[in-house]
Amino acid sequence: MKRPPSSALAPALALAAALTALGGAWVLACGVKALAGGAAQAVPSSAVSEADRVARGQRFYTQSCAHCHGETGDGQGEDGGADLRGLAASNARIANAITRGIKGEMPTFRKRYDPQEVSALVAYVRTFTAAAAP
Amino acid sequence: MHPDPALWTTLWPKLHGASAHFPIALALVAAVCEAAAFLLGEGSRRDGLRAAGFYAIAFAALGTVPAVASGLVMTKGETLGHDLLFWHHVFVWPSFAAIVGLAVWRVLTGEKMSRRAQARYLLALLVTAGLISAAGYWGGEMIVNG
Ligand code: HEC
Repeated sequence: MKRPPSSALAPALALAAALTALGGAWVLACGVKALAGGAAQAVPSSAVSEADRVARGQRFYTQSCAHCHGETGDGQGEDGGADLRGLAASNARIANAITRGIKGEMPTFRKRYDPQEVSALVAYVRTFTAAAAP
Repeated sequence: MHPDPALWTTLWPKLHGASAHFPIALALVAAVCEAAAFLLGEGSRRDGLRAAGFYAIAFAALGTVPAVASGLVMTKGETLGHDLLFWHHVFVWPSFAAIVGLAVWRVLTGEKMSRRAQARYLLALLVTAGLISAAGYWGGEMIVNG
């Protein structure tokens, strides 16, 4: 640290380190994506549009709902939500819960998700029915 | 490979929550120490604050690694995303790069920074402290507001 050249070079090295860090994060992101997304690719092509909707819903769900309802819809999220597996509620009722929220229990998502996105979420929540068996 | 879904709901968000606060707190501590040191006259108080600022930013940079890694695994490699996650990332990525860069800058120059370099460093550090606070705010919003 006593060498003057190192302090002259410091800003350049700092910039290089910053860019390397971002690059490292990006590489890690790609790696994780490849590992986690591999399973989602194996869907029969006949079900593509429904699968797309479900996949879209899954993205929203992971982001907005999983921390309460749990990744598998079992209601075991960190912040406490209801079990969503095998819901008897109609699609409309589920959509309603998402857009309007439940007073004191669950936030509203009206501003966050448009009706199409809500229907993707409903489609994804519906998959918990079939997938309930371990 | 089919990752165990339970791991994503419980383990990774917990790890992210546990690890993300270290770099946030340390970057803020670094900013406060360096700002106070900059304002103080020469003396042992200033040297002490500069030293504290040095270690705070160095450990903040080390702390970004588990925070970023757990966040990426938790979101399955999402680097931008939508809505709250998007805003989280808008602030996370610049502050991540800045914290690492500032730490390298600070570690390499040690105590040999000129007054001008100190002023530039402090300015950059204050901006970074703002960015990482914003990133933390949006991260918190994801927990509170879904
Ligand atoms: C803050 C935690 C939280 C978040 C975030 C959250 N929920 Fe809920 N949700 C709850 C709780 C708690 C209940 C149970 C309310 C009750 O039973 O009174 C619930 C109930 C539900 C129900 C059942 C409604 C019914 O009438 O049977 C559905 C469906 C649902 N949530 C879907 C979602 C979806 C989809 C999301 C994401 C867009 C979401 N929730 C986000 C906490 C949350």
